[in-house]
Amino acid sequence: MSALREAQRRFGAALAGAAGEPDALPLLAGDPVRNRALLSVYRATSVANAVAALRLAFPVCAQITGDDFFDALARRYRDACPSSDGDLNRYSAGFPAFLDGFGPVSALPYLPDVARLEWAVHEATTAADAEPAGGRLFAGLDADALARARLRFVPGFALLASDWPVADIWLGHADDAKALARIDLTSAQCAVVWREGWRVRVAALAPAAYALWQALCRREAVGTAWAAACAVEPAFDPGPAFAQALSAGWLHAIDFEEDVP
Amino acid sequence: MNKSVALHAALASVLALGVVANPALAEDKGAKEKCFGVAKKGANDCATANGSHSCAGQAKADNDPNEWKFVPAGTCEKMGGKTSAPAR
Amino acid sequence: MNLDLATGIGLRQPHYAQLLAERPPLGFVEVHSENFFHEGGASLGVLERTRAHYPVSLHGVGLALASADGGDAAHVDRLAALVDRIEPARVSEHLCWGRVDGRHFNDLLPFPYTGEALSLVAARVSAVQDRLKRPLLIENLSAYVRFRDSEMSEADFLAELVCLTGCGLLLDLNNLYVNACNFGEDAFDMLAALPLHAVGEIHVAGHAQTEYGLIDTHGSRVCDEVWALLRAVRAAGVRAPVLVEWDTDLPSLDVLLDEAARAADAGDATAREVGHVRAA
Repeated sequence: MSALREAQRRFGAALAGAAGEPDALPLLAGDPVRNRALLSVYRATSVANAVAALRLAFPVCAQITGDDFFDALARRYRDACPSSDGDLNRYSAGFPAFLDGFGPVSALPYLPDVARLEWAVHEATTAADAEPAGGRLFAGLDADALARARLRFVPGFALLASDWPVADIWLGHADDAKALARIDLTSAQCAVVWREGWRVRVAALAPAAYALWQALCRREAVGTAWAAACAVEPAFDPGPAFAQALSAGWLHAIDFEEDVP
Repeated sequence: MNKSVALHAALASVLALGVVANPALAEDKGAKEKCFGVAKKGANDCATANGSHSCAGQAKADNDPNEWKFVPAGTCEKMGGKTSAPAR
Repeated sequence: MNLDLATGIGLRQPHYAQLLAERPPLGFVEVHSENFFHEGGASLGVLERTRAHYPVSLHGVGLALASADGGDAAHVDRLAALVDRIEPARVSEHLCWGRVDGRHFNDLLPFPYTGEALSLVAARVSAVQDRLKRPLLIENLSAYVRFRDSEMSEADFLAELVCLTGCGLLLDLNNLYVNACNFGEDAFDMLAALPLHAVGEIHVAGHAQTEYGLIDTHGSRVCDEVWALLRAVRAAGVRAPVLVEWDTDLPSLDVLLDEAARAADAGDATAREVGHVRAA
């Protein structure tokens, strides 16, 4: 057994929780009373770094719960899902799933999906820069070729279907208190996240349009994706949906059968 | 309507889009320069009000309240407060 | 890149727009490497634009070189990609551990200075240097506790590490001062014990006085004693760039620039004093 590893295990246990302090103290030189307080200072720093990382990724969740509640939540998440990465920007991916099963947030049942949306926003913020496909993406195609084509989306593009009005909740927090009061918490909503230049955008999507883009994100062909949208809304017209995608810059490239390995 | 005919009709509306103006493409370098403000802080130097930072220490000890006695007190009130799960 | 007596500040998000708009005279800027470990977006765009006007120093906080757990190859890969992209003037990390049994504490943690630890850290530093094809600067730590099992001082550990790996030293004068005060030692003696010939960058920062002693908060102006240490380092002939580190309660850019000007003055004043002594 490496003496260094053993020392780090015992020191680490004291940073995980105060219960680990008694085993760590014999490692340290000097006054044990003072050392115990200093271990607690180290623990405070490690906790604060984790809490701050979560606040940075989930600012709307923190506004919804208030700071004290959110900080306590972040501590419980640190206990349940400790960081394993030297980059704190990668730490919070498991937070939405943690909220799903966490009793004290059951009075805010929309919170896990708001967190999912915020994580998609967080990822879009640092996604690779890519030029969106121009409006000529479909130029020169006939309907048969388009039906067989598959599409690639710009990095950071993400979709979310929720039982809750997640897009309205997210957008309402960027807006004002009046917008929050107008939200109908009983309505389900699909949301789309994308990057426009350096800005991350969020919008609500109609269910049929969600089905279309969801199928295309799964690399289904355009014809198949259209059928998926029609299963939701029989008279679905893809024209306006594609016009929105092209003008917002969601699409990156088009692949035909022969391009697909 | 035959399914394939319907498909052709639907995709014709996509092909009819022709050249669509693309604001994301139009966002030139000048526009980017103006939005340095959208850059987020990095999680590895979260200088928060309580002063946390990966290479700076906390000027306080850790005192974790052990019991869960917190009540949400943020914008959830503005959105109508307590809610129950939707009927599926 | 010759940065010699240059002074720099940390590039922090609240100052991005102003720094790029005004481009104040600065020798270099420094960022935490891990905050730019992603593929694109605004913050990386800001760093690339900044790099067009200033040399950049990449300062790591997550490599946790002394972790007995094993090296973090993915982390080194991400650092290497950033180094390729930014072509930094300096790449530095801390003499610390942070990860055990798969858990990362995301803090800079002290460890016992033993032969076992020296072998481990030397192998790790060499591997990173081989991967990056450039020397690393390793920073002395502000450590609030010391270990019974330590076989040498931090200064001796760093001197050995420099010999074994050819790495440089990032001399953090605030960390040195904080440790000297907390453990009742003389900061100038500690300074003299360090391998000053290997110093490739200097940090100065503020700290807080607490009931637990001095804590390295990077949240205030540099104290007089740390400025005195900087003058001593300059008087000893160390020509390395100085960075003003400020992270907590970040002030306006003007305050940082003022602090950087004071750091430059410390070099100038020393040069005048040395010149005066030589003339006398």
